Amino acid sequence: MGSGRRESQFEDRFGLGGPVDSFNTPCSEAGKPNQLWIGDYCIERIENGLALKKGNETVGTYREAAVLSPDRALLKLDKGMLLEVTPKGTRDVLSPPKGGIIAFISSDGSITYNRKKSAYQVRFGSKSDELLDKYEEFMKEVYDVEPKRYPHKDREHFFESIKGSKEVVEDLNKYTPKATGDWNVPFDYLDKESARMFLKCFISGDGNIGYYPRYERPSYRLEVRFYSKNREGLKEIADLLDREFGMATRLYKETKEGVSTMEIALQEDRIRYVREIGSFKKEHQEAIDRALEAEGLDEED
Amino acid sequence: MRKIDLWESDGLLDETIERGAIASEKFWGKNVAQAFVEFLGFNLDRGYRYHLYQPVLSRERTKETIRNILGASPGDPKWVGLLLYEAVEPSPLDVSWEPYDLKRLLRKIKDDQGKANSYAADAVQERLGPGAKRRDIVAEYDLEIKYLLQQNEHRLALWILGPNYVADQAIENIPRDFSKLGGIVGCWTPAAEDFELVDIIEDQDLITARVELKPKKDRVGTT
Repeated sequence: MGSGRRESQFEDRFGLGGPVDSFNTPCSEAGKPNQLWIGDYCIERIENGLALKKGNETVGTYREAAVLSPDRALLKLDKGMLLEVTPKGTRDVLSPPKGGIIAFISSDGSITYNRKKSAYQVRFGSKSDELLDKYEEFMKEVYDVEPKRYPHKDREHFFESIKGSKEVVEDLNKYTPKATGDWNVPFDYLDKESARMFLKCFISGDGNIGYYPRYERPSYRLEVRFYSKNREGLKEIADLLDREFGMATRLYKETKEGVSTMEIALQEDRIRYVREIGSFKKEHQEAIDRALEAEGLDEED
Repeated sequence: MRKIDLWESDGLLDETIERGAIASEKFWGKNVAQAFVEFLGFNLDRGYRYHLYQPVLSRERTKETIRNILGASPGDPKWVGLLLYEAVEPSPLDVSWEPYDLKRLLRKIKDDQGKANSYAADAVQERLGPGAKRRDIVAEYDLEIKYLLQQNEHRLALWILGPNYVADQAIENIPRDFSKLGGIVGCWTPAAEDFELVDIIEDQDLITARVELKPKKDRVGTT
């Protein structure tokens, strides 16, 4: 590899605009000047950005890319969406922050979408400052809006972060059915990175990561659990963990009050979960630190 | 019993109060003998999730009851409902409560863990053969404890659920976590006499046996 910033190396080699390599995907080292081929697709540098072409047709033009590699490109669209280009074709995927917003709302939020009453509102409630901060950061990044944070007048340290916006609500409504009922996993719009963020944000609100001494045993137990009244939703999260990360899960019997629990079954996978996915919640992060230190894994990577 | 959903992260938490008043007005008929507000909360950092049941003394006091629960319950709110009972239906307060004694409760839970481990060891060896060493077999199950809280003239029922391996932590946290809702005057745990093996997970050096308490007709109290 040559010296200098990755972006400038890439520029030198391929003549394409510097990729915003936010997802840790290596830059391409193959291609012709000004062009990157991915199967039948060609990404070409133009005056104000990038053009995606297939045969003689221009599929679209884009200001910048999030990832450019010989196998896959992610071209930035508006409102936190990305166009994924692979040899198989193209599809829209959620950026990680947008996947995070949907997961936060699925766990502890709501969408009010009532055209008759012209009521449009996105809400996220929590007692954890770090989760409210992260949610608001993502809302700013994806929609360039700043939700207002209201303290609950009776409940100690419980805040609701609220944004009334038709544009935001109508956009989110395309990717989650939360406004009309239960949440689900937006499989069609997730790649591995947005899946990772979806899981990280969901467990922050409706899950637990703990590290506990075992009863009358010298060892500790790492717990990675998800809880919900939406059992079908938990099944979808289990499916996502299996598909994207190869983690086996156990879904336990629903309580008579209607709460289901799903957990990652094997200690090895639980360790992988806390290292590769994790949580934004402070208490979860403290448990992760304790677990990795005790398991002698805190120095790796 | 009629269960009416008031809130499930589907709007501002405060909307629960108005929705509760409307539900009371609409559904609290002459056949209703008792009404409760149920609150589902997650306090997972403290080792448990819970259901809290506060009686609504009259239709007119629905708002006040909901406001009290919203203000005093710990953790993250997940669901709020209104429960309407007819005279013949047992309510969450109809439990054979024992006087609350923290040390005795901890001892009972520890004894139950021992019984569960012993059952799990037998069941796993029966399934996997004697090659499975008893010392490597650990039982895991979800624990259920019911508490009776006294707040002035009110009595509230609190149902705690959590994994057995955090039971000690959860039990010790409960009195402080719910102190705004009153003092604990009674408790109940199921009789841990008969278990059922539901899953075996062979993981690293341990065999985890997921067990469940078998439902029994006499699981109404221990007095």
